Amino acid sequence: MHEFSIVENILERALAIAVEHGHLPVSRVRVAIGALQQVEPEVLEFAFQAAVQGTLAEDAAFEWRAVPARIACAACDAQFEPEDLFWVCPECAAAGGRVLAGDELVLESVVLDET
Amino acid sequence: MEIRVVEKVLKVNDELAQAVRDRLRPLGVATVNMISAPGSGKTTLIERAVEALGAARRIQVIEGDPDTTLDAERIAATGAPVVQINTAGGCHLEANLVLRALEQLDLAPGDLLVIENVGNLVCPVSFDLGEDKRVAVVSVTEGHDKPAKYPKLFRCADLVVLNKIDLLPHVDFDVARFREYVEKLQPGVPVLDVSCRTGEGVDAWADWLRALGPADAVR
Repeated sequence: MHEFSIVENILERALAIAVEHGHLPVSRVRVAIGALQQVEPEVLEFAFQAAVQGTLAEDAAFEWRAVPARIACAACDAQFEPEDLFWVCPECAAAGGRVLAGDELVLESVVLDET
Repeated sequence: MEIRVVEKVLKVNDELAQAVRDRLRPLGVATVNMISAPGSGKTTLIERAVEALGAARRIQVIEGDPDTTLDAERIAATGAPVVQINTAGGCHLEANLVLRALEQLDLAPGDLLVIENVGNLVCPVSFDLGEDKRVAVVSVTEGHDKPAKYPKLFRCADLVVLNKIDLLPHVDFDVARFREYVEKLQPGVPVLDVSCRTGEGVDAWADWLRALGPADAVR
């Protein structure tokens, strides 16, 4: 249920931006969610809709995009997208590796309603 | 109007975790974050470690639980300084709570700070507490498939403790499968078989902690 902590962080940042811009209402937040994050986007969205009640982001849409995982093989440094939870390099069959992408949880932008 | 932000959602936590490191590293205090499901034996592992390391290496403890001071009372009984954090239902510790708990500890050079996270195999993994090392604990009653079900923890753990191995004759836990899962998720990560009840493996656990020096303050 750490989705609620995550949402709190997103909302806090979005509201700070709204206040900086003359208390404009927030109409949308855009978030990038890495495939390796153990975060369920639908739970995030649900938590977000619950958290925004009574704030400048009350009518904000929660928009997210998935970022696929990308791994660098620890043995041969080949880059690949893992096919399941056990990462196996398609070049040399070594297990594991270094995460290049897919571990992010990023607030990309906040859209304010100027109308 | 779209305002570009592009920053980590947990940026505030990451900054506070860095503040924890900035406080502890100059002191030469190594910090361990213990993550497991509830009831896997984290507190008992800490009790055994305090006994094993004795006066030669002081352990100080931060206990995280949704409620009660039961774990802190157990640790206090060993003589180790301890602070209990109650998360009021929260499923994980965050760096701000650790930073606050540090105010109540009198850490000295060479001390080892052990943080027992809230029992949970998912949420604590996402929150850096400023630790140097992460320890994942699994007890044999939980099943050998746990690494596969909770891969993120086993990919980032610096040590995996397989606890309660005295119960192996009574449960269908396949140790080889468990080790295979861990090895596939993070090749080379050490796995220690421990029974706090019989004492088997406790020395290896204590040795691993003892070997942590300020030089390990890198992550």
